[in-house]
Amino acid sequence: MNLRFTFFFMVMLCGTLMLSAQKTVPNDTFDIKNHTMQFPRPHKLWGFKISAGLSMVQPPKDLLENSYQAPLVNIHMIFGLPWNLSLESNVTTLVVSNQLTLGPRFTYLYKNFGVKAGWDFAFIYGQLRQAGFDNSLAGWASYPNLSVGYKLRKMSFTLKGELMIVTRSTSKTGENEIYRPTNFFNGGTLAFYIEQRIHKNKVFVIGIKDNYEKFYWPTWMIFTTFNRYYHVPELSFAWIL
Amino acid sequence: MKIKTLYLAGILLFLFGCNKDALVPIPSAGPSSSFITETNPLGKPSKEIMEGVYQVTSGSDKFGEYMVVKWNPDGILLTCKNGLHFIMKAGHLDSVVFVQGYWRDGYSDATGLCNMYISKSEGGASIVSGAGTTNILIRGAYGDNNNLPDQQLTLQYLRPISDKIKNANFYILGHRAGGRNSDRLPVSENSLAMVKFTQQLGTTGVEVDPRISSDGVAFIYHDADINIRLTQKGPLAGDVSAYTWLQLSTFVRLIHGEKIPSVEELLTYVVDSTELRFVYLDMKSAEAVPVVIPIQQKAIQRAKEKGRDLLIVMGIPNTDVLNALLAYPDYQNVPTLCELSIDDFKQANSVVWAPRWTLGTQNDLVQQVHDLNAKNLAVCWTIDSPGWIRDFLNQGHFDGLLTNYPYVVAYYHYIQE
Amino acid sequence: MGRKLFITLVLVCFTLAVFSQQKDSVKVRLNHYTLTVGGGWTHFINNLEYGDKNIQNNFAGVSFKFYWEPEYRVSLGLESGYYHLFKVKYQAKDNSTAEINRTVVPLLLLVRMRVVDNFYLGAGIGLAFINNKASSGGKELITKTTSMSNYEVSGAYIYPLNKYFLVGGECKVFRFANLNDWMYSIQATFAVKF
Repeated sequence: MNLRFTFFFMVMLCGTLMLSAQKTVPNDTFDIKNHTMQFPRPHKLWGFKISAGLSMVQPPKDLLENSYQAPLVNIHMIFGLPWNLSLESNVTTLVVSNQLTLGPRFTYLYKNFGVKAGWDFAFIYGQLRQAGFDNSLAGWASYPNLSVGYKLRKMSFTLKGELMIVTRSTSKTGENEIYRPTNFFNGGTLAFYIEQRIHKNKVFVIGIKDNYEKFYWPTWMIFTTFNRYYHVPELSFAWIL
Repeated sequence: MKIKTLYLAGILLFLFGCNKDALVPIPSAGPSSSFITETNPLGKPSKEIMEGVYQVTSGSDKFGEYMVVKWNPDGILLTCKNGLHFIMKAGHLDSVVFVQGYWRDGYSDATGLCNMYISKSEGGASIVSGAGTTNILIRGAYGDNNNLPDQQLTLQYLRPISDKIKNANFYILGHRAGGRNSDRLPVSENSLAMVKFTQQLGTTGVEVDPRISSDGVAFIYHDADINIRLTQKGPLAGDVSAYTWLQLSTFVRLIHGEKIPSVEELLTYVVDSTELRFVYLDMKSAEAVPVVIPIQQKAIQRAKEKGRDLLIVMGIPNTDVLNALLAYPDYQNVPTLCELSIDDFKQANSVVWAPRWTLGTQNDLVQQVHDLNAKNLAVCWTIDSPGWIRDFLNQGHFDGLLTNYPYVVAYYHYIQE
Repeated sequence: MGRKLFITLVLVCFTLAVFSQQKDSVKVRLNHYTLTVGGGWTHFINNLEYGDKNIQNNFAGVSFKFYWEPEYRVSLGLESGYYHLFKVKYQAKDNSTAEINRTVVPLLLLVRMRVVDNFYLGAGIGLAFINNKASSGGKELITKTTSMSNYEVSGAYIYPLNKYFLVGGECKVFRFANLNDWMYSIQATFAVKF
């Protein structure tokens, strides 16, 4: 019964997929500069763009001894403003650890080259009350950032660097509140993004990022006393909706 | 096409390149740079004279205003409030005392060499003769990494360790046999080598993690699985307790190459080869309880025969272990450390109560434990931040602290008036 | 580790960029799907620091992939397979023989990009289910580990036989992070397009 059902299901699935594939591509005036989110380009006034993505992260063993690993879920939003300005926001979550950033951007596009500068303000919140942990954290941070990019017609390349300054953070371990130092420089990140047309006018983003930081925010709720910088690589895929 | 080939070659090079996790090697200026082996050992009276609280007169910007100097079975520890510490050896030639070794920041990877001396007129003669003096000046220099020491460091003797502290029955307990792998020590956590090494960090006791193999041998290992955080890469993987002791002994080596120790090997080593005064068997499985108890009792007996002041306690971290203990005949006579409530502590007839540090100093409950029996102890785990260590020592009434940074506990303990 | 991984990935991306500067041969392609079966040689890169006597690290492996191939260069897919990483034989002191085998079943999300006609570069991230089997004295012990953070990079040549069938060859490198296992594989592939 199960075999017959599976066979029938597969035939139906293949048929549906084949029928859905029989569409022709309309006249192509596509230019990726109208569709990117990482590549620096002016956004349509009051226009809104959003992408959803996943990041695979490999945190350092020092911080996560028992290798709790899960993908980060990321929602990236851009809101177009006048004078080449825009407002960007990122919501990134690991369930037990979350970050919301919001900040302005100024963009300059010259032929196929783009530059974007901005400053994000971030709120970080996490809590972990399992596996022997009883920790929570709330903090504020700033991310001054700069992106440079080059585009082809259907593809763009963007290099983005940002610094991280922690302006305030408080973690709670059990009954005790632990204040970390405020206004300290936590390191920076360097990321490389390829944005490419994938289907109709939709764009797919592949990103790689190296976080070189003392405290990597998704692991912040695990209170440690380490005072050293770690490289934390991230590989991300996102779909611009 | 050449550029493309180069790109591909680059990718392969990075993919297959050797990639070791960061370690902090013990600094060395070369094989012939150490002269401490040429010196004569100092006697016990000399060591007692040297111990005490010193004022840092040069180098205080890095090491703080004060330093505690304390001997251990393998050398001498100089420790500061901020996690910086010196692991040194000392000896004398004529009336000059030489102190040589390295410093390390326990919270980061910073390290370097250090050479110091006490001249004849600045306390050397008195120390060597064993006649007391309060005029000791330790002069020398420290450097970064393997570079020869070139930055001045001078310590002026301020006072001895107070009698109150010397006579206090206080335990500085090293986590995972004395130190964690994540603190990048030169030996592996939960190994015999760590038990030996940790005494140089100021520990007077250790916490270890017993488990049981599939054929019933109790061994020391922290995680539930075989992983590359704890072990050199080998052919075994998965649940560590699923394997036989022969398989574990044959195919698993700890991260720095040591064998996994059995509980019996570790306790015998502590009794025979260390001056440690406390072993905390932090049971990782309830099944191990009836296996570990006879080994614990045998080690206690061995320590007694050797005249050792050594407390070996079985930890009760959860109700599974508690129930396994209560099911053991004559469990009341098993020395145990209870991490649970005071009621559980009473039920198990434990001798040590050990709450999590995040619950605070809990002085009223610590007092209750002491009131139940004057010999009862209270220790808390696992406290690592210098500020909290200071506060717990100043405001709490615990008889010991379990930590990953024993030199910080040592500083704040021995500096107390 | 992080820096090397980062630079590696930057190099992969630059490679994609360099290759993509070729003449764009995309005319009008339809959105379609492929099911691919691959099989071939696998080689475990022996990084065992202990217990690596009498190691056998060359085996046959199979892979299964499903791709959604939209009209442009990038395709998204899922991959699984079965790979034998190594077999280690060991003679114990009592002359008994022990044997340890490690196998892995990856489950990866794939992104593949056509760089020039018929040539593709790809990357994948996802899970890996690792099985370790230790046998001695007629007894077998199987332990299972799930590795959460794993990746694959691959290069492939795919030749269309006709409208529906494709054959090709693929080279790929895997890293299974939990136990730091590295493996590469060269496979012949057969695909059905629909």
